[in-house]
Amino acid sequence: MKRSRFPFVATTLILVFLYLPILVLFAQSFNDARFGGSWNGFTLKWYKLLFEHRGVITATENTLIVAVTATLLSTVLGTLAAWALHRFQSRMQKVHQVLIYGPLVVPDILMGISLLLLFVNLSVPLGLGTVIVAHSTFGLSYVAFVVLGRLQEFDHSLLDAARDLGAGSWTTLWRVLLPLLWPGIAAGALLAFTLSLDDFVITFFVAGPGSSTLPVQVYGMMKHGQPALINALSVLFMSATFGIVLASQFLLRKRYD
Amino acid sequence: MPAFFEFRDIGHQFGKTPVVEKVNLSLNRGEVFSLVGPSGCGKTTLLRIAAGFIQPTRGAVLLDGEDITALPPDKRKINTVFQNYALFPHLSVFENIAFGLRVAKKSKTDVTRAVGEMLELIDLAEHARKKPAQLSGGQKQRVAIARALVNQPDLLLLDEPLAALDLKLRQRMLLELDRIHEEVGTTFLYVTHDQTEAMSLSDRIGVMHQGKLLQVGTPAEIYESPESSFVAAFIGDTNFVVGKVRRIVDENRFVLEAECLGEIVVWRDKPVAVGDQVTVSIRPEKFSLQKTRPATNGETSNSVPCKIEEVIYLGPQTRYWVRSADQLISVIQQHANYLLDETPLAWGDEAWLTWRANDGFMLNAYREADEALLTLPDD
Amino acid sequence: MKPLRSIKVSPVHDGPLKPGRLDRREWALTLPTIIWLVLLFAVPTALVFLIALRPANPAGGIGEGWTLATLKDLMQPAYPAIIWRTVWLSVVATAICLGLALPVAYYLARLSRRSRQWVLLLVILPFWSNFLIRIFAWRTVLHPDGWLKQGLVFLRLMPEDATLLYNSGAILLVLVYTYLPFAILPLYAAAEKFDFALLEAARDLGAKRFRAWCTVFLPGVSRGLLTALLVVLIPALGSYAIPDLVGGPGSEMIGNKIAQRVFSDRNLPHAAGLSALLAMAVMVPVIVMLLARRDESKGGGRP
Repeated sequence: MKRSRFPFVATTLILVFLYLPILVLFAQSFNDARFGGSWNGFTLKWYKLLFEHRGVITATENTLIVAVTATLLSTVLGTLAAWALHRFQSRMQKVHQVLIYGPLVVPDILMGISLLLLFVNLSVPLGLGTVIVAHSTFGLSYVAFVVLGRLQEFDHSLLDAARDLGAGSWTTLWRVLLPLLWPGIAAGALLAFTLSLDDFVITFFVAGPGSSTLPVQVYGMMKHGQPALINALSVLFMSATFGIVLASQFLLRKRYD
Repeated sequence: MPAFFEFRDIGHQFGKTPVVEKVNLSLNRGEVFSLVGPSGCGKTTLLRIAAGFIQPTRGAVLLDGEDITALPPDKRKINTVFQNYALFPHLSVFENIAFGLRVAKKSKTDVTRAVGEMLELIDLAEHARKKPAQLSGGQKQRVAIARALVNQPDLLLLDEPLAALDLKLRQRMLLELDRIHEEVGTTFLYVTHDQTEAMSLSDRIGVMHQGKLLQVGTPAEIYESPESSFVAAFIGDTNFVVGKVRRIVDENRFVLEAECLGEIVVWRDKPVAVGDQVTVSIRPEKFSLQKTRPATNGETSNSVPCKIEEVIYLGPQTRYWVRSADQLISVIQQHANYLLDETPLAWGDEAWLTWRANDGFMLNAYREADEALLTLPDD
Repeated sequence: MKPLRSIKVSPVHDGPLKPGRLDRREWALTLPTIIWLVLLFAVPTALVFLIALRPANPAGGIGEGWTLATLKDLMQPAYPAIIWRTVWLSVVATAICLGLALPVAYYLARLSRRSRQWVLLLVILPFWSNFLIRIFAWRTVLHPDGWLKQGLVFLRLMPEDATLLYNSGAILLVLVYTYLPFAILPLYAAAEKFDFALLEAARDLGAKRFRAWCTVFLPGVSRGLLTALLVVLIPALGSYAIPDLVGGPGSEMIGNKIAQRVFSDRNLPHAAGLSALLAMAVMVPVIVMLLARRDESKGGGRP
C-alpha cells in the first residue's frame, strides 16, 4: 500500500513555520539596519552594544543567581517528593500528588498573581528572594515529575539484591539507588534550570526593583524599543538554552538496557 | 544436633490474608531442596522470609541453631539469586560479583582473587568488563549465581532462577546448576513452579499449596507415593479412582468397589476397614493397553475393557484417553517400534486396560478440585 | 530450647506499604514538599478567591473588611467581551494546534527509530527557546517595515496601509506558534503506541484512506488528543505576554486585564477577582477531562 505523502509535506511545512522566525532573528542580529526592512551589511555592533549595557549585565547576574539557587532547592525537594510518591501509597501521598501536579497545570499568570498576593499579604518585600521561592515552587514539580518517570522503570529487586549482598540503607543509597537515578535527577534539574531561565510571567509579578531577570529585562527593552539589541541578546540566550537542552537530551537517553 | 537451617512453625499474612501457614521444615547441610507449587502458593514468601525481606507474622527462622528471624537481610549469611537476575545495570560483570565483597570491605587482592575464581566457575572470565545489558539471558543468570556465591553464604536461595529462559537453555542451566552445586557444596533452597526442574535438580522436594507445606520427600518418594490428590496431580500426571472398600483380601491387598470401574484389587499400603471411602492414584504409564484380553491373575492385577477415545502420538511415547464404564483414563505407552507394530491402536478401538494391584497408591486426602490439574484431552 | 528472639531490629518492609499506615520515614520525605506547596501554592491560590472580596487600598495594597464591590465591577459590560474573546481565541488556537499536530505526530510515529529521534528533536527545539524571544521573533517578522509585510504588499496581496501586527489574528498566530509543540508531544506519545496494522486492517476491509484514518487512528490516539487539548487550552486561556506584545487595544485578553489592574491601576482585589474568574475557566476543561478519564477506566470506553 502506497503511503500518503500528506503527513510528510505537513511536517515539513510545520518545521518551516517553527524555524522561520528564529532564522529571521539570527539574520537580523547581524544586520546593520535598525529594522528588518533592508539588509545594510554584516555587523557585530549590536553584540558589542549588548555587552556594554548595564541593565543586561545585572539582569544576567540575577538570572543566574535565581536559576542556580532555585534549581538546587527544587532538585532536592522534587527528588524527595518523587521518592515519597513512588514508595508510599497512603492517603497523604494522594494529597501530596495533587499538590505536586497543581503548579504544572495552573497558568503562569495565576501562579504569579497568587504569589504576589501572598507576599503582599505577608508584607514580604519583593526581590531576588521572592523570585527564587517562586521558581523553586514550579521547579520542584517538574523535577518530581521527571524523577517519578524514571522511578517507574526502576527495578526494585535491585535494592533487595543490594541488601541481600550485605549493603545497609546508606550503602544501598550511594552505590545503587543514586548511581541509577542520577540521570533522571540531572535531567530534572536541567529542566528546572531552563524553565527558571525562561520564566517571564511569574517573575514579572514577584520581582521587585533591582531584581529583574533577563526575560523581564527583554520585556522592558521590547516595550521601550531597542529591537536590534534584543536580536543579539536573543541569539545568545537561545544558544545557551539549546546547549542545555541538548545536554539534557543526552542524559535522558542514557539507559542501561 | 540442631538442623542446619530450619523454618519453625512459620506463619505469615498480608493484611488479613494468610499466605503461609504453620510451615515446619529443616534443611540438611549441602543438600539441594526445592519448594514447588503453583504461583501464589506461598513459596516465594517463604523464600523471602529466609532471605530476611519479610518478617514472618509468627514462628522463627534458625540457621545453625541460632535464631535469625529478626536479622535484616544484610546481616544474614544467606544470599539470593533473584528471579529476574537483579544485576546492577551500572556495574560491570566483575563489579557485580565484587559488590558483596566491597561492601564487606575485603582487601583489593582478596576481591580480585575471589571474583576471578567465580568467573572461572561460571566460565565468563573473558566477559568480566561487560555490562549486564551486553550479556545473554543464560550469562546473566550465571553472573547472578556467582554474585551470590562469592560471599560464601551458608545458604543460597534461588527464586525461579530459570523462569525467564527458554526451554533448551533451561535444560542446559539445570546441568550447570548441578555442576556448580557439586563444586561449591553450598546448601541450595530452590523455588520453582516447574516440577520437572525440581525433580531433576533436588535431593528433596517440598510441595506447597495454598500456604501449606503438603509433603516433603525425595523426588521418587513424592512421585511414587503422593499423600494427597494435589501432590499426585501437581507432580506428574495421574488418574484418580474413587470407591469403597468391599473386602480385605489379605494384609497386602483389598478389593475396592470403584465408582466406575467395578471391583478392582488395590495394594493395601495403609490400614483400611471395610466400608471406608478410599481414593487411589494410578499414574498413566503404569497401565498397559492391549487389543486382546490378557491372561491376568485376578488376585494381583486388574483388567478392564475400554474404548479408545483419543490418541496423541508424542514421539517417544503415545498418550491415550480411554473410557471404561464412565471413567476417562489417561494412559501412556512407550513403544520401541511404533511403525512396525502391526496395527497401532486407533480411535474407536475396543481394548483391554491392565495394571497390577501395587501400581496404584492410596491417598490420605482427596479433593475433587484437584482433578482440574490433570491433563485433559482438549488441553 | 534456647530462648529465641534475642536480636531486636527495626522491621523490614516488603513492597509498597498498605494505605492508611504512616511511618516516620514517610513523614520525613513528604513533609518538606507538602509544607512548601501548601504555603506557596495552595494558600496563595485560596488567597486569590479571598482577596477578590476585599476592598482596594488607595496605596495599591489590600484594604480592611469585606466587600462585594469587585464582583459587581466584574458585571460591567466591558468584561464579558474580554472573557468571550479570551475563550474563542484560546479555543480556536487549540483547534488549529491539534489539527496541525495530528499529521506531525502520525508522521513521527511512522518514521524509523533513528530518524524519529532527530525529527522529534527538531520539533521540540524551538519550544526551548525563550518564550518572549519567540514572540519577539514574530514581531520582527510581522513588523510594518519587515520583509513579510513588504513582500505581501509588493505581490499586491495586501494593501499598503493594512497591518499584520496588533490585532487578534496576530495573537492567534503566535498562540499557535507557541503552543504547537505542546500539542505535538502528547499526540506523538499516543501515536507511538498505536498499532498501525489496524489502519491496514481497515483499508483491507474496504475503508478509504481518510475514512480509515478518522475511524481507526483518531480513536486510537484519543487519550493523547485529550492531553494535547488541555496542555494547549489551559495556558492559552491564561495568556498575558502574547496579547500584550502582538495584540492591540481592541484585542485584550483576561491576562492583560489582570496585569493592568496590578501594574497600572494598583488594584489588587480587582486583579484577584479577574484571576478567580480565570481559575474557574481553567477548571472547566480539567473537570471535563477527569470525568472522561473516569468513564474510560470504568470500561466501555475506547482503548
